[in-house]
Amino acid sequence: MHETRSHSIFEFDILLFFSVLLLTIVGILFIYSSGVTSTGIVFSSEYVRQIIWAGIGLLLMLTVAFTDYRVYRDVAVYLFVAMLLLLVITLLFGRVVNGARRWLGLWQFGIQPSEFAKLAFILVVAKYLDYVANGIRKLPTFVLGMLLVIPPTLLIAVQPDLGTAAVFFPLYIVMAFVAGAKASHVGFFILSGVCVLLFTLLPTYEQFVLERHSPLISVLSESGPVTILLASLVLVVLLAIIGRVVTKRRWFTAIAYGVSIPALGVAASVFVRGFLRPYHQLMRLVVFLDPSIDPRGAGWNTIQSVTAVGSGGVWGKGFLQGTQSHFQYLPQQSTDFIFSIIAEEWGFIGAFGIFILFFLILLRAVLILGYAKDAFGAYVAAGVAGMIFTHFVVNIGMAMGILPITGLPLFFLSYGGSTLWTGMIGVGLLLSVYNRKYR
Amino acid sequence: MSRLRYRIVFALLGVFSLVLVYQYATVMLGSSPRRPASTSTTLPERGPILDRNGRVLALQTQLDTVAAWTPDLQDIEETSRLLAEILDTDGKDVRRRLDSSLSYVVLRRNLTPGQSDQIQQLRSEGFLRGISLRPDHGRSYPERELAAALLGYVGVDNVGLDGVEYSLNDVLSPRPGTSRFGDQVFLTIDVAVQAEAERIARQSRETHNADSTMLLVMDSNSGDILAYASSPSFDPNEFQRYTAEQRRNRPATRVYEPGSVFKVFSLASFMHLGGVGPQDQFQTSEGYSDDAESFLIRDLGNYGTINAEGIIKYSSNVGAAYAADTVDADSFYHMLRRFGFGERTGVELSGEERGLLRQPELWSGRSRQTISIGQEIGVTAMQIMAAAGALANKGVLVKPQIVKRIVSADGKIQYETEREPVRQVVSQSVADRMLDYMYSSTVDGTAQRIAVDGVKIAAKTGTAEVFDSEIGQYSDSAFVASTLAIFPKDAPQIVAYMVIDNPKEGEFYGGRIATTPLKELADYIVPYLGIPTEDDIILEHSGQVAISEPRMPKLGDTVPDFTGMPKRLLLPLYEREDISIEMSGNGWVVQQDPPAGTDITPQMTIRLVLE
Repeated sequence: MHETRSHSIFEFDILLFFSVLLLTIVGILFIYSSGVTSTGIVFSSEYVRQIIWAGIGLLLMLTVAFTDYRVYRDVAVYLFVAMLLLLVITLLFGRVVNGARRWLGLWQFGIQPSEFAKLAFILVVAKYLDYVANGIRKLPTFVLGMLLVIPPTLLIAVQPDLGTAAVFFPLYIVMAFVAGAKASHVGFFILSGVCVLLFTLLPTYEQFVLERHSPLISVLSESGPVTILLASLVLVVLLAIIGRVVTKRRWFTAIAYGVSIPALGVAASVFVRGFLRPYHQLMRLVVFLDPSIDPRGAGWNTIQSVTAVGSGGVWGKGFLQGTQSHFQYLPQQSTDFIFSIIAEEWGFIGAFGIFILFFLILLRAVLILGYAKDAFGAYVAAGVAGMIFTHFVVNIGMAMGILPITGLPLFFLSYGGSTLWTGMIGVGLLLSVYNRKYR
Repeated sequence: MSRLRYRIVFALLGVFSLVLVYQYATVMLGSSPRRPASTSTTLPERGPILDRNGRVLALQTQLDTVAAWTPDLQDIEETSRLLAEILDTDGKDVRRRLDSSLSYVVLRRNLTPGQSDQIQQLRSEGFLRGISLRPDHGRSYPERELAAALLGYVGVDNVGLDGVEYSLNDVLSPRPGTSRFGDQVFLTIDVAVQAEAERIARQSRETHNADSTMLLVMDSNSGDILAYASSPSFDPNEFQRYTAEQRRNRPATRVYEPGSVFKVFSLASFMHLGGVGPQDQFQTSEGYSDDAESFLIRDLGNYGTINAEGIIKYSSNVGAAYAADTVDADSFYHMLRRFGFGERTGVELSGEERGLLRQPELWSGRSRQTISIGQEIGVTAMQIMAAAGALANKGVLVKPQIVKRIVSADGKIQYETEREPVRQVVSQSVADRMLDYMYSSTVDGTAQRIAVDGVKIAAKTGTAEVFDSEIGQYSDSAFVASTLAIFPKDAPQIVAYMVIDNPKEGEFYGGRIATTPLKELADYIVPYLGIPTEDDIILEHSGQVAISEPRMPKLGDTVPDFTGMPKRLLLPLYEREDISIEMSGNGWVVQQDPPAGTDITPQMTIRLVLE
């Protein structure tokens, strides 16, 4: 236990550290670029703040990296509860920016507790999985852990910040999968999640993209038919369960399993749609499929972003030479669409370089979770890897027009202290786990 | 974590990476949709609208739009002041617009070239940072208010919104894919006649303080509308400044009761149906009433016993009512339909009204009589023009035309309107007789004021009461005064129709106020179009001054007349073996022997003297 190797600086994960550092520097460059107009006038000082945050972030990262991550196991629950309280406070007293109450003001600065909530969530789930150990293979244990997803998801969804709210469920699934949850259980909830998304969005898709009445889809949105549909699905599930108990035949289980997925999907979609309706968010979520139906509204971001990316070509237009960004065609270009600017100005080569850096980080994260000395460390690593991966895929897919505009920032590149610190503390955790791999 | 799960995680990571890289590669590296080439140079050009002689009425312009990109603005105060000066507006107004957005603001479209130059100049001196000029296509109407109702106007996106601009939008704007130039549309109107008609219409409206006036002129043979005046008018260059009522295309859309002018069509119908003959007499002194004496139709004066001609000449309501008794409602209705009432004339104008002609089943006991004097029926001025055309055209209704021809940008004629006879409405004798009756009203009847020296004008006046829907009966203060003229009576060329809607000052009788404008018009149009008058010294001439190549006279059985023949042409005669030719002199034949008409005998000698 008192081996000194782990304290050697050479055990520090240089590759991971420098990938993050490089991404952060590129991020600052392009935050600068996004604040320059077509005539070369710098109108935004965002890059200055980002430099300050990056400096503090690096310190935070190194502090966490050289702290024993097992400290967090003991305080995970308190951190999680504290974070939930912060979220509640945010809802009550938070600053409203762009119609959402997601900022908590601290002097002239503000933080987004929803970003840090991901870290607290990862720690508490890791602690839970560590605590139940092999018990995660049991369905009740698996489902019970899922209850941890609900409070942060709801508290963030009402801000409203759907993109961030939707991150917690996949994080839990990834971590439970790594912890050894049964594939059938994980598969069930992944499929159910897909069903919820599908059934929630189909009526909106019909309304805005398809623009004609489809009876198959209307069943989902009209209260009469949807009740009948749900009732019959539940009935089938009940009958199958009864059949299983009475006859002990295995295929009844299969029926119950298969039918309860759409049943769950339909039931949840009714709830989610009712919840989302006032926010006009649903349209945003489907319009990416055909941005031309609302080119100046919900489709604008997708069109402008894809145009920016597409105009980059192989080598790009050169740093500070992009037109889409400097004519301010892209909203939130320093946060949500930072990648579009990189693609426009540095071309495919630049984008590919960013990919490589992220793959290096993810690769290191997955390897670290294998090296981890204990289960808690592995779960934390899995959670951080899952978090970075989710943000990466959703943000870059959004810039590309293959995923809806959800407003998830890109770690290390996007402007914003909270996001940057969350990513850096996450990497700090990874480094800490790696540091203590031989203990 | 189990080895299997490791593999699954790596596999998923790998698949996601490949999909992402593939997606980005296709968008960024493919020859895929680049942004379309700059559109400013390939903006399609809308075709012009011209009058029948090629005078331009509407054309495409390329004027600058001035806009601001607010992040680049330097000194907003200074910029607003300079721009306000150039654009001739208030500095605060410009300032407000500049403050209204954080990005791109359009400040003014269709700058004059002078304004563009001034802005350009200031920019080159380093002022007006953030302000840019952008060429934009607009529509210009150089004749301003002229024929505005007919032309319509075009919105900022270069799409026709009214009039011909709207109804022929597809022709004027280029067909996608084939050309970037739209076709040119030649209208039937003649700018000179149109200008005169508009002047007269405007003057009448002002003199009589009328709600509106219309003056239409048509070539009765072809159906071509030569003038389409509607006052008040508007300037389509800045149509937004006018109310919908000011922009209204009244001749095609205003439905009103025509009053006594309509008697020419009702009496023509009765005569065509055989109900009334030229010699039939009507006793008008006592007025007209039905058996139940539920209503009474009276005349303005006592015209005593009159014949059919008298009905038109004195505009006798009583006579017309008695005449209406001679036919049944169904036949009368069908005759009016044949004249084109109750249906659109079919000119290329959107929103043309059908008018109001009820089915005979819905007619009341007095409808036949009231319709015969032009009440209880709603018409448009265009319908009156078309129907009058039938009287001018020996009974044949000809479709009115507003489009003469459509020519593509490279000069090919795409479409040319021709005279479109629709149907024989009344017999030629009825039509001609009606013109005679109308002429008599200008000699010593209601329309005397229209008489023009040397041209026989057939005319009919009318003063319609206007039904006031608020009080549920005919108003005693609102009238529509009108006069219809066809001339020259014996070989009609022109139909002209003047309508004065609700004159509020001075007199209101059509015979008093709507005749003089038509006389003015006739005074102008007769010499302009070269309509023959009785004072003209008629020179008989075929009208063709063709320099025809003289031909060698044929030698048949008799000697032809060689006088005036050039020698050159006569040379072939030497080749003939059956006769011999002796010519003296050079030039043209002045004398010949034997004279023309002499039988040709073999071996005869013809002597010709040339000078």
